[in-house]
Amino acid sequence: MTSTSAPAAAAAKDGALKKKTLTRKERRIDKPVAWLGASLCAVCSIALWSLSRTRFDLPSLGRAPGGGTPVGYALGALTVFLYAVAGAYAWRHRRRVQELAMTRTWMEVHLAFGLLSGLTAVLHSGPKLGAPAHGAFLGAWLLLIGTGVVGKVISVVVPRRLTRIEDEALLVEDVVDRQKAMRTQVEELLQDADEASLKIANDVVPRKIASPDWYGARRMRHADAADAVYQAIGGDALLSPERRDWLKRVVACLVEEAFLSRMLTYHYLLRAWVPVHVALTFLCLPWLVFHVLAVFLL
Amino acid sequence: MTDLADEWTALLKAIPFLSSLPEQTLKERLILGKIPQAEQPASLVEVDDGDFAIREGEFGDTFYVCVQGAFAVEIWNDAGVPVEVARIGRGAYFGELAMIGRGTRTASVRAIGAGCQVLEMYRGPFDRVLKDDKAGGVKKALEAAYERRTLERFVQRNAYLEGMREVDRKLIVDTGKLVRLEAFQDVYKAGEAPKSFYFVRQGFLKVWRTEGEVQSVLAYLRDNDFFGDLELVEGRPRSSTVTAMEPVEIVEVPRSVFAGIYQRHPDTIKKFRRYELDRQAEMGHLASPTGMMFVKDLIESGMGQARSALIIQMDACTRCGNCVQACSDLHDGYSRLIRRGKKLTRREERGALEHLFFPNSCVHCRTPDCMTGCPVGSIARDKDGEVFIKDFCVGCGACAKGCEFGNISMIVIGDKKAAKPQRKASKCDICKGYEQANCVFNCPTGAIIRVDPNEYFEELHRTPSAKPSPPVDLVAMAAGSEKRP
Repeated sequence: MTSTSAPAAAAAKDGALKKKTLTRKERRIDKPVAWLGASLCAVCSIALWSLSRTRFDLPSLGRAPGGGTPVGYALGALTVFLYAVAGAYAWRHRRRVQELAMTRTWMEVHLAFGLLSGLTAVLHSGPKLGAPAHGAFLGAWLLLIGTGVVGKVISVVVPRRLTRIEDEALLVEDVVDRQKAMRTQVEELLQDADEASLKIANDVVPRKIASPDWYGARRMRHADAADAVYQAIGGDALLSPERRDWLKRVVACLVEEAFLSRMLTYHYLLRAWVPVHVALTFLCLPWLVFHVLAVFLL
Repeated sequence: MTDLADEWTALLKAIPFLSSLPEQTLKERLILGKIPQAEQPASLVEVDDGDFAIREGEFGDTFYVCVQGAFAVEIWNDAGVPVEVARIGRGAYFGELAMIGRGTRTASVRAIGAGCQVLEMYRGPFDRVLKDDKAGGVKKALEAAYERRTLERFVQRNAYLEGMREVDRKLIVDTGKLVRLEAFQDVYKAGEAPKSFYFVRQGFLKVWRTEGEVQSVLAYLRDNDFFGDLELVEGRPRSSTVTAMEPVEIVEVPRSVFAGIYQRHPDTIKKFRRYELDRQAEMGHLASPTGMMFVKDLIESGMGQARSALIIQMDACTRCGNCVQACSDLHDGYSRLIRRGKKLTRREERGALEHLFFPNSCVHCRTPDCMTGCPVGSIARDKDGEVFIKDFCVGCGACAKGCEFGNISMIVIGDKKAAKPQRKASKCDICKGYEQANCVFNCPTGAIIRVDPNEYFEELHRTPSAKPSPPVDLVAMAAGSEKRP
């Protein structure tokens, strides 16, 4: 017989479910803290750069603040550090373990300090393009940050648009499957159709299908949108009563297909910018090494 | 060892609902029997002075028999102070209500003095004994005991029955019936003659009627709520239908008993009336189509009984799939989260619409059906209500069949190419032992969260009043001297 010091039920870990479950809307502090930190850093960088321009470097060295001045070196070092901080997100994102902080916190740090690295890079440069190699590097750096900004905009705008046109939440593979099925269904419906019906299906109906976003903005479900299209083409007057059901099905399929196409576009859009951003990030690493070596050794 | 087993068998034999079983069965099945888990069916547990054997409000799938020492039975009063209601000693038993009813412990049991010992019994072997009891004697006795104790506790704790004479409370316990209904089963239908008055012990119900061709929802009822009184008082047929939205338990009070209480305790009835007005006002708050649809969809999808539901906020989700990857990484390549499920639309306080997606992932129900069919007791729930699968799962799939949400899947463990691969049930246990669910921890946008729907969504939180309002003088109200709420 086993004997323990406390009943099994009472010995269980205390309140694990409650700790992991929200009972009210969460107030995130990581987001403002990350952006506040980046803002402070930005203010300090700008202040340093301004002092360099008005007090330290320009008056004494006769050179505008840039890579060759103490402040310029400091800003360059800061930019390298920020590159490392922002780039660490990729490592954290892939690790998927419960250590350090939540990935969303890393994401905020990545966004805030990544954006800041653009500012520090510009301040570090003077701002001026300088030698062609350095100017190109600055361009690539800003392009990297630009793709990040575009990615953020896409990540904010596209999910809202996507979810508005989804009747139900679908994975991208489900959308592809459904689209295939829908196209097959349309082909079957049009197989034995006469000339007039084909013309309606190919010309009249598609012209009356508005953008899925338009329906989404009006909170119209796919079936409602199909009804609206059927009304818009005057479906009842176009074909004989016994063909109306056929036409309704064709309209429903074409409307659904339009929705699925747009959903697929959005799904691809959500992913499309990532490889560009990642590729530029990796491209910037050897370029950064070259830049540092070029400044100090060449 | 044998002496000890004999002693414990004698203790079990003295328990009324087990008395019909032969001593040999008790000894072999509940004390010495082999079960797959590390623990044996019964184990002797020492409880230190002042420690709790069980705590009120916790979940548990064990029951206890006092072997040695004294124990205080305590319940929390409205002021949040534990009050000793009984003192028990050797031979007394407790904890069977939560074990059978899959609910929370209704009282705390605390050891008084040194040397206190209890016999801890697990649910698995107990279920098997019940299953093999062809005559059904144990089951009937147990259900009777369960019903009696549940009614007693309910009447003792229900806020509407406060101030009622003890004799009337006892009358409700003696004549009342504890009725269990499955989801979408009607309690009564509109037009029927009223026969009883009802309290909700546990679960969500919907009060509705059809107006023309439209179904109009009058109220959603939940734990400790009541219904069916108006027609009894006014002596007219039911004006609405009441339907269970999930497996529920209701307390049915016969018409004759209700009539007697109505005469003897007019204040209690006033409380009911006042509460109904409050309820109507609260439904008015939800009268917007989106608000009502959200509550309807949420409750009809069974989320009313969820204690921790996974939600993806679709407006923030970038569909990167990192949640599924994170889950799969932590659980040997098998994700316990499937991004297929129900999408609901909710209007936020500020008026904006939010799209919420409930993917397939365990919601840790208040009354988990998955726990009832396990032949070895490997699916368990900790005291906080977290349902998890123990290592000794035999892979029979009973829990997967029992889960109405389809949130348990069977996975292959060990050699996947073996002729008879070993299977095991797999479900989300919110990453037991970790700080947070891995999907939540690794979402880059914070779109995925775990919430208690009953608390998190104001619509569900507000629908029924947790506490009744102070009584109102209906006569004065009718005369116009008291302001109508």
